[in-house]
Amino acid sequence: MLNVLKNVIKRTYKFLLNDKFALAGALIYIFFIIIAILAPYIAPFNPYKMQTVEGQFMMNKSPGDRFLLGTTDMGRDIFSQLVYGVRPALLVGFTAAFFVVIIGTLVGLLAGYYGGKVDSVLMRLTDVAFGIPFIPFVIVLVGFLGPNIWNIVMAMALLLWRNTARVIRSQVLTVRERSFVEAAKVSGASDFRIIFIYIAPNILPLSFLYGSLAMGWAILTEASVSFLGFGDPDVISWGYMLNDAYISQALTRGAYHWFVPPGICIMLIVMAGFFIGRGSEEILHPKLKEY
Amino acid sequence: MSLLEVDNLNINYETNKGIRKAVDGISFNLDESQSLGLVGESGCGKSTAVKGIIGVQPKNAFIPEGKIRYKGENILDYSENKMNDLRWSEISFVPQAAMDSLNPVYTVKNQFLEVLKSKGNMEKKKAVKRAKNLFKKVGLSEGLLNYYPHQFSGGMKQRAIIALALALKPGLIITDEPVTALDVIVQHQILREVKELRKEFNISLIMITHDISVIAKTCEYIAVMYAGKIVEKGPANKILKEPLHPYTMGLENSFPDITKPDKELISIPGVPPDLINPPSGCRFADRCPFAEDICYSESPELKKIDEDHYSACIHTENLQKLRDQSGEVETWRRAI
Repeated sequence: MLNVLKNVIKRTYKFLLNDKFALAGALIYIFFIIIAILAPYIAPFNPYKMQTVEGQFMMNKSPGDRFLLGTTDMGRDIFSQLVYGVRPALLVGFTAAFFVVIIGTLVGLLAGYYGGKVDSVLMRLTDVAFGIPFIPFVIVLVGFLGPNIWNIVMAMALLLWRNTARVIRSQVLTVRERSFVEAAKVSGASDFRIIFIYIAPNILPLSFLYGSLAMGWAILTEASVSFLGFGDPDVISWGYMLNDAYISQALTRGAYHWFVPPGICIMLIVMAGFFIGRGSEEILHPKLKEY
Repeated sequence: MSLLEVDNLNINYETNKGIRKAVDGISFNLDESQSLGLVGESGCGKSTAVKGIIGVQPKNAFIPEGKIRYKGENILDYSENKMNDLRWSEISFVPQAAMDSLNPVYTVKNQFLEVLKSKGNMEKKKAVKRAKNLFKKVGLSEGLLNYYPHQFSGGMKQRAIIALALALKPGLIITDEPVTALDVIVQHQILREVKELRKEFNISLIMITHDISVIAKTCEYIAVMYAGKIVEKGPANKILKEPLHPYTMGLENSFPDITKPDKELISIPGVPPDLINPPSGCRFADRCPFAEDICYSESPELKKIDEDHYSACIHTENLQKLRDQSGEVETWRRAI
């Protein structure tokens, strides 16, 4: 197992050097991860605190020496908010992607391997999931269960697995017919062993591809939901910042320093996710490189 | 007592057109450390027969009749669990295109250890040692164990597979087209190694192939199959030199001879009969240049012609004449 991991890391490193897009994506992620970890040291102020200077309330300040990106209409430091906003974005992205990979891969593996009734039930379930509109579902569920960041993650995990499950299933259908699976069956391996030890590693790259795409989707969705005002009010995310700016009419006042930075950050992190996805897709389908 | 006794084995496939009798009453014996080659054209039931022996036939196949005795016990009565214990540790099977049986995402070493640990109950240290040993035996260097299957050439994969089949010192190895996808030089090396390993470990062998030269090199006995039946069986040198059945004669003529490069190759015209409704007489009659009227109505039994040499044909005398005639192209044109 450790050997396999070491190999994967080595290959990833080699691969990143060859693929500029994936490298850019990985660098952006590393950059944001470092910021998320060091947020308290990088952010100059508490993002929730209304700033005062010598007793004077600092609202709607333009970018300057003291407040790098100015302040909001409630006098909060925008730069600090931006820095702390990395945390919920990554949290949502990683957890949603994790659940999507786990659920989607499991459903795909079981449906593809067992076929028959199991397949029918699981795939019809997937069809149902496909029939539900994504953002309205998240909004309704969050409205129902309460605006909490974990509820948003759960709502996304409940629907985003559908693509993964379908694609994994079709892949399993081809892998399970390969001779090595037959050999395993003949030598008496259990279904469990065949599914998880023999088939799963063969479709794992595909799971990761869909995981990295799900990461982008999840971050984007969290931002959308927050922007629409259904997000977690206690967590400052980039979507929340946009919503805040929108409500206090930052655009009419020309306060670009308020809403452009979170927008760029959202774009960068989603883009990074798709770059990495595209990169791993090239591992799976080397022919893509020619175009 | 024979190691393996196959007695009147029938295997049928249920298809949506009807029941296809893929294997129709074949019998043969195999003694310890003996080797048997099964020959015949594609679709004559060779693979089905051996898959039936180790119990891995497809789901739509069933065995209505027959006995398969391994070391005296009828293994057709075995439960799936008991069969699992038998496979690999007693009877190894190297299927067609066996090289694909290696899992692409694990190193070869991993796959060896898995077998040795789970089926051979070995500890890791001992298993590694054994894997290295096996690799050396089939002519691969130890270092190659850490490689992934795709880093191997076809010949190396085949060797690795043979080593895997030997891993638990089985009494019998069944190989289905073991060297077909390889070039002649590698074929030669692998066959030689198989021969030596067999001698060393005292292993019996059943080898399926349609390449007669492969059989000639490795097997002591030959059974020729046609349309689900054994039409001729006997010692290899006898069958190769003095074939009794017209089908065997035809089969041997259809291979190129390096000493006579100008010789026109003779192929047997026609195709094997459909096994859903096989003809009532001799199944080869339609394609046989020596067929008589009786051949179309009565199915000949496998008869002892010579010592240890059996044939299922009405022609039992003046066979040299038939052999000479079968070497000419005109003879076979006559049949259609």
